[in-house]
Amino acid sequence: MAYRRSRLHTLIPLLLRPTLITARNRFFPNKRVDFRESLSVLLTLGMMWGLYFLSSRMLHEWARALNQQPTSVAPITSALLFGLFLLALFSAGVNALSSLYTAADLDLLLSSPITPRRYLFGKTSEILIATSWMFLVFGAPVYLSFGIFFSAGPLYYTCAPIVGLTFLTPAIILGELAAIVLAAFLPAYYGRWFFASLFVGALAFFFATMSGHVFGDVTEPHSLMNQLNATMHYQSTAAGWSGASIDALLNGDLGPTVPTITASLILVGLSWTLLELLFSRVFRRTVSILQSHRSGWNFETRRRGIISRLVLASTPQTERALVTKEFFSFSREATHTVQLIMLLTICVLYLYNFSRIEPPTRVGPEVLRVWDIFLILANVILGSIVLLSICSRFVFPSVSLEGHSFWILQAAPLSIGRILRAKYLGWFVPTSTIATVIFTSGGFALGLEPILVLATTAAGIVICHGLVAVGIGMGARYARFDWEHSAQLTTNSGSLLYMVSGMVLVGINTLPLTVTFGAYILLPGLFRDTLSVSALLGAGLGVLVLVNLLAGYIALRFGARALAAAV
Amino acid sequence: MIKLSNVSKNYGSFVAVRDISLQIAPGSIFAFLGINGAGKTTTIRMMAGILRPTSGTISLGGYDISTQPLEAKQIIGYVPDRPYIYPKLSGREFLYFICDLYRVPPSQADSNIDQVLEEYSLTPWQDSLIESYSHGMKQRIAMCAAMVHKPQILIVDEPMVGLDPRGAHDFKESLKRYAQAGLTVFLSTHSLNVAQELADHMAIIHRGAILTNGTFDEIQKATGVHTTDLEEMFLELTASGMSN
Repeated sequence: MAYRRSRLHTLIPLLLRPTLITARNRFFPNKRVDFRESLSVLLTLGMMWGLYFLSSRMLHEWARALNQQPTSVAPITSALLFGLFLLALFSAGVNALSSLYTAADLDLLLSSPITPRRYLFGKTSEILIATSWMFLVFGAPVYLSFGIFFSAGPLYYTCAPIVGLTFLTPAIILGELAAIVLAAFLPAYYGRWFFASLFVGALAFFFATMSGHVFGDVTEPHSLMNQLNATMHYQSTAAGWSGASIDALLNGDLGPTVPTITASLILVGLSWTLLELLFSRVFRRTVSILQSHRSGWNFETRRRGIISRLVLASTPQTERALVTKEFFSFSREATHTVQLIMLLTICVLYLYNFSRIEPPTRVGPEVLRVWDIFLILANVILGSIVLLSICSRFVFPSVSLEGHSFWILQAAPLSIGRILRAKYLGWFVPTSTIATVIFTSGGFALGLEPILVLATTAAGIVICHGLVAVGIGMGARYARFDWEHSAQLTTNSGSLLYMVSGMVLVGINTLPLTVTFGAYILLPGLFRDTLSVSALLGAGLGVLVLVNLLAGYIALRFGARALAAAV
Repeated sequence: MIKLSNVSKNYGSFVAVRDISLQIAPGSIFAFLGINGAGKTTTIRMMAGILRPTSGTISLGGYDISTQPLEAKQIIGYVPDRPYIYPKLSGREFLYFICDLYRVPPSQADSNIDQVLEEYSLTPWQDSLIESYSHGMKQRIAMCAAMVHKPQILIVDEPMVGLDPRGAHDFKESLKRYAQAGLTVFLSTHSLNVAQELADHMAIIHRGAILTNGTFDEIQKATGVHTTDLEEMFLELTASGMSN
């Protein structure tokens, strides 16, 4: 499609134009709508409708349980906004690391006569778009459902997006700021060791608090967490103000909206000034450091080849080669390591929170049994969601990460199916290890019986297989080798579809598990001896295995065909 | 032996390669010449099994690249015009990877790697990450990768780009040695002097179709362009090809 300059172009920041034109050209190559991209858009719209339907349903059920319309939704909107803030911060940080320091256009832009300020503004706009469009997809249906449910007026529809945008923009800028600080003071080579140490420290802290070695009394960290929760109470935080503003807007009242927007804009201004200041001081130096570190890496690799052959001795030669290459490439990429450490930290926090859950008091044994089923399922579902987020960051983009080097595999004597199987193998082993840790620790933290811990761990590993295989298959289906920086791969429509498909798979897996664990806990008379318990759990897990094998098989086959046809 | 029979490649209504037929004898060096956008890289990518021909067959060492891709790929070494290589692997790690992909026995891999690294003067940089290599070094490590599994056919797309004079000289010498040892070399190049110096046979492709094909003398006779300079002949043929 011809690139025509129009007056509209001048309104778009210069450095953002290639990104926007590329996005337009993806949908309209050769002046016709691309079927694959259009299908993604349709599926995304379907998912948005599903979200709208679910949140409307949830509000109606809530109103029915209360026997009246809820008077305030501020705690819910605050919690949602706080969650989105953290997500934006994390995504912007990761995006900024690759966009500012490893993007393909870095040399071109640094050698062009543009001011650092313009460069920063262009890149920030790019990060803002890459980070925030997912929030639009997830947030817009919820925003609409709240508005329709509460019969909100035009004030809500015009002001609530401004509240949301001004609330989330500082998260993007702060994420970028964190990335600049990280890259400047912890260059890639050392950064991962720093984060690895931080993670090991967090893990040690977790186990120490679990065993009471840090505070002596385990209730003390609990009260510490309560204090933290109290500090983050919705009324006294930016998320709280924004949530309260949205609540007021739903009722046709401005409430704290104006001061909230003003405060958010001041925060945007301050954080932007700080970002600009820091950027102008350290950016060039950081780029130089990163470049010099590149050439400084030198080690004896002959021995490493022997080690990989020994460690993966029983693996076929081709698969071993692909797995070893994947491991080296992954572990040496700073942005991957930082993401992994951050996600593992989330796992630790997740387990810590599970260990603090206490059963309801003053309730009958029947309710406690239902509570037990709820906890087991919560462990499986939440653990699976943590796995899904790890897979969407690492497993889904693994095919696309071959990038322009994909010709090496294309020209080699191996089929696309074999490449995908090797990718699966390379990712299933580490993710299933993480799954084992999450589900076993989660089970013990909840105080489950050993047989249930074993069953949930086995279920977690089976679900992990499904998520990894579907991730590889969909990653092949939506493979994109012409990326400019790796963070783009986790923010595209394919990644979004993978997350939705993963959630659907987790939902499907929950059904046989609910039946199995429900029967085990609610019908103790039927399942007393080892044989009947084994038969029940075996049958439940058998269904799970079938579901996930089928999902994985279909996804891998579908992905291999799509990838073979695309080249 | 390389045999292309009526090979075409279309991208929608655009014909990138039009009904190409070629036959290249074992142990010879074949130069594939053409201006930018003539269809050289498309042809080469079809031969390497990266692109599928729209019609026609490509046979490498008796294996059809469409129906027996794994067998055909096992006997070829391929160097693309822009050799993007995994930046986070060291040169040696990359070559181990290639050896495993092509199932070189582990006992033989080390000696093969040492040999190609030495041949392309990369031994001092074998343990450095590829991202720190210059363009010429990347070109050379790609050549190492193409040769490390001892292929029967070498397919090289624009090998001289980025090579310094020493590198270019060494490369030409190595091609001569390979051909003497029985390797079939299919070479696409812009450097007409390289083609004239090395190639036993050559073909000129223009707008996706072969203009002429044969030894230098055969092309002279067939086209009636009487000059001892390949560059002059190439310019005259492609100019007349354009006017046609």
